Amino acid sequence: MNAINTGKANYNRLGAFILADIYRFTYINDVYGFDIGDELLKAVGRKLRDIFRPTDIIGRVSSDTFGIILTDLKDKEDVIMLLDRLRKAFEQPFNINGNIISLAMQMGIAIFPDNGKSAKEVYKNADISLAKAKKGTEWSYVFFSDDLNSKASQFLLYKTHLEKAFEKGDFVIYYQPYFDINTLCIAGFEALTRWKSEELGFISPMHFIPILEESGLRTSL
Amino acid sequence: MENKIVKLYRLMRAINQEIVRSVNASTSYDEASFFEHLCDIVVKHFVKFAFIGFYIKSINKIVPAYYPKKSLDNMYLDYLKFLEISLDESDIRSKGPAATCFKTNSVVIIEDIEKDPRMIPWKEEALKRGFRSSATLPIRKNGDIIGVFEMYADEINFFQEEERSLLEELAIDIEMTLNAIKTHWLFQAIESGLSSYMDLFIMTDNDGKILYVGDKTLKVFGYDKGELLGKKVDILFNYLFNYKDLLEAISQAKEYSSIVLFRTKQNKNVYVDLAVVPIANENFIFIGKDVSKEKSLEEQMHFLLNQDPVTGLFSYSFLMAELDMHVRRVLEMSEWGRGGEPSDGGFPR
Repeated sequence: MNAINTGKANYNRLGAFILADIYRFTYINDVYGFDIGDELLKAVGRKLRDIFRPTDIIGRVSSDTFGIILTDLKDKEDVIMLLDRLRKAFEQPFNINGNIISLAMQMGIAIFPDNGKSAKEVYKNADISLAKAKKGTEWSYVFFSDDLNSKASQFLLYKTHLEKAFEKGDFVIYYQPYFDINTLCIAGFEALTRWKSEELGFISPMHFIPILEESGLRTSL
Repeated sequence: MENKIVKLYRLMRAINQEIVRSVNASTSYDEASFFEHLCDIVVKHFVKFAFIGFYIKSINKIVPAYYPKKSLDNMYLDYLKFLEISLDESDIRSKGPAATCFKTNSVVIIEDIEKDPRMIPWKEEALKRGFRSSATLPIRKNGDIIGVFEMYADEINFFQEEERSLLEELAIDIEMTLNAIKTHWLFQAIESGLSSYMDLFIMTDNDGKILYVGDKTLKVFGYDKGELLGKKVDILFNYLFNYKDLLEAISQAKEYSSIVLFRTKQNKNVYVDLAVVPIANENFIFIGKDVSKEKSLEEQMHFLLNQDPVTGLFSYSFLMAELDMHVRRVLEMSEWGRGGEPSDGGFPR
């Protein structure tokens, strides 16, 4: 009982959840095959266990993504320190059955309780951060922020409405004429797309074009 | 007359001594031994002949089962053939002392066999053998009458109505003795069964001092009897386990059951499916089966279910459960910091 009480008194009130994705892991499977891919995952697992503290909890959440729960943190800097240690540890390439393979990771991080009051919320926010990190280069990591959250929410909102917009024909084409300055006659028209959503109102292409590109809906347009 | 009373009291004393002896007897002493001794003892103390008969429902008769085996000649033993007594109302013998005693569940005294009409069917044979008076006591077990104990004396009025209450008391003493023998045997059977079958079978006082330990417990825990008797039960406790609930139940004299971790003398972990039961005199029985193998399999299964088969790391479901626990814990700590108390439960390592 005493030990438990002492533990409670010393427990730092901050934790973090990291989603760490292996950078372009599908390439590794394509090049070396699934057997080597699995061996590599095992080696990554062993390395993660070596790097993190015995109190941290490490698991695999999908084919090439690992989840790490860090507890008893003083502040956000503790996470950054651990991420640096992770990066350094991966500088040494893996040797899998004679195949020398270099790996990098991209990570999304959610701090709790600031970035979530439930496991689901924390996970979702770490996932949003990872999505952002994956747009970056090797070893990029992103801490969850409210701004990130609002962007993610906006993305989801627009994406859902965009899909319907195609079915409903909400896109309006404005033809803007251009003139030959010598003759001052109309030389042609520039077609400009505008999205006029019943629910969201008039939306500038500056906002919906990036979403079309990211979600793969651009070709539909 | 005084002489007769002294004789009767000496008879009673001899019977009571046998009763005391039987209650404190060793394990080999049983109901049959008690009945045999009872018949042998009374014929050594002024009684000419005695028998114990039991009622057999299928034939509606009282049939002699025990009689004195020592120092009696055939003349007396021959009398037994007259003692199969029908309880059928049409049979005159159903009016005799044994049948009446059985039917009324009370002592029947024949002060003078020669003159008492109830003895007509047996008078001639009884007098031939020198029997002059008799007393028939009911034999009861757990309140039910099961047979009779009949004694014959060679004096008229050796048994008299004045001694009825004394003889009734004797019948009660015999009943108590039979109950005590039954309880003793039942305990012996339970004790030997539990002692040899249960992996943990100990009795403690309310301070936890071990008063009794079963044979198999000694084997499972690797102790000699002398190493455990008189020691506190916490000699078997394992520092990896929290005995708070168990000790609390004991302090409140309540029953307790759970899977509990103990340790052997060789410091080996033993999981026991344990029940602790308060018994008489503020003592406790600890009884349980070793479930270490089952527990180990359960842990292996739990581990496999929560493990990612490729990397050996935790699975998604386990990670989510852990994340949930840690997020809740951190929230509780935040509440605590604002004046709330954290709840008990798994704590971060």
